[in-house]
Amino acid sequence: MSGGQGCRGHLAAALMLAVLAGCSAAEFKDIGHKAARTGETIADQAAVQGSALAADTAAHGKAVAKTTTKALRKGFADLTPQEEYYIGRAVAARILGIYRPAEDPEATRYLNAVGLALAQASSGPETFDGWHFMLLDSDEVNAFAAPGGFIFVTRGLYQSCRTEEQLAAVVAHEVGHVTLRHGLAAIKTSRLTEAFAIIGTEAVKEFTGADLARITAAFAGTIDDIIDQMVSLGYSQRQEYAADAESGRIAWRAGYNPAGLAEFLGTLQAKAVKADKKGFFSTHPPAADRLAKVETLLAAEKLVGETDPVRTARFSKIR
Amino acid sequence: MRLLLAACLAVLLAAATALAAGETVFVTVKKVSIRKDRQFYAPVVAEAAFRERLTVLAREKDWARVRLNGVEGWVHVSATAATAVSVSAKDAAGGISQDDVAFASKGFDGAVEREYRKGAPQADFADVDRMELLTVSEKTLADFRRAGHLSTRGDKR
Repeated sequence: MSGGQGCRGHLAAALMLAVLAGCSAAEFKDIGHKAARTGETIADQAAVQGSALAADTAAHGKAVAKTTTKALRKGFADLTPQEEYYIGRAVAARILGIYRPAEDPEATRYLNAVGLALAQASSGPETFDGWHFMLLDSDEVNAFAAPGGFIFVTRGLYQSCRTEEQLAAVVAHEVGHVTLRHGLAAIKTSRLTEAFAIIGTEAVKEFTGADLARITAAFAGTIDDIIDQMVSLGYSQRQEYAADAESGRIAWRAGYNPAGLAEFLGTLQAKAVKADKKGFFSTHPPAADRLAKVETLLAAEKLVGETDPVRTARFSKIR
Repeated sequence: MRLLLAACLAVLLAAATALAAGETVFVTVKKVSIRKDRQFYAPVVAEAAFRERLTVLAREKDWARVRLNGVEGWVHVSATAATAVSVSAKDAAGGISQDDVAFASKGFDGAVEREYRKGAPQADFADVDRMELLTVSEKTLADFRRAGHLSTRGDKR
């Protein structure tokens, strides 16, 4: 059937079937993580689904499923939480191939409590395996956020903070990178196009060795892309400002004083003068610019709070 | 005018409720707590595992009221994924099959990671495994928040 009335009738029937069929399907639509689909994509999907329902054999249904997968999975926004988790594990493994974990159980427990309180106040609190926060044994002032909720803070950054609010602000900034999927955005589309093509084609049977090798190659390229962006190049200024804004919102929702980030950036600004442009200083925009933007955001969104001395006291005790 | 607005709102609400009623979502995380209220610090009434099917009864903000094995409670939507329609005759007749769920989630997985590890000696997965053991219990987190005078602000996301 092509064009004209017939096509519209087919689409209308498909849409009706999609509504009536409700929500049993093979294709995950990730509500929590994925941006809303365009109307065009939804219409395409409904048309494909309508065809699938009209099929009277399982074989035909599976064939349509292949088409659906190919049509729907296009970029990083289509990665499932499970895939994001495996990407995150590999990125974390690469970071831990460069930095060593700090052997400080008390500070690590504290960091995880602060981190989880913040993550639960974020827009993406549930990740495939939960959130994990690790202190790295390095004097560098730096932090990393691997997809899926693996967050790293160097001892140098941790000790640059003066209050729990400041530490919370830094951690919330990294949580923001995860929920805004900045790491995944670094993946070259061609890697995922390649992987999705194989996954879609081989959806109904086991992968062959050659298929697995090709998917693994795409996976390895994916990890390289993220590591390059995160460790060497740094996120774009726009992404950093977005993570700063998210930090303010998350900290405020969690009950912290959202001014913690502005306070920390003030410290950073002073340090940057003497810094050798490594780590946090080389991969982030100038602290003065960030400070100005954060203060504007907090005022615009009326995000205010107080720094409770009880939190500062426990931070000082553990630090 | 006010009556008309109220009528429109009622129609929209009814439509939203009808859409939510009977809707099915799948759990996309290893384990998710189903809670008494739509917030993380509410008591847990049940737990659901990866790929388990939940019936959605209502939605509010970023939370869904769901039913699992006769127990009702709230889950954050970031732990779930909706599904669209069946892909085989079998599914059209009787819902989704386990095979299809597996198909839907196939991609970068444990098998790919095992292959990747063979060619990535610079990656330290043993420390990642250790990192995954860094968790905070519900009680510890509640105590931490209470001791730090932390209480959530804003609407319940």
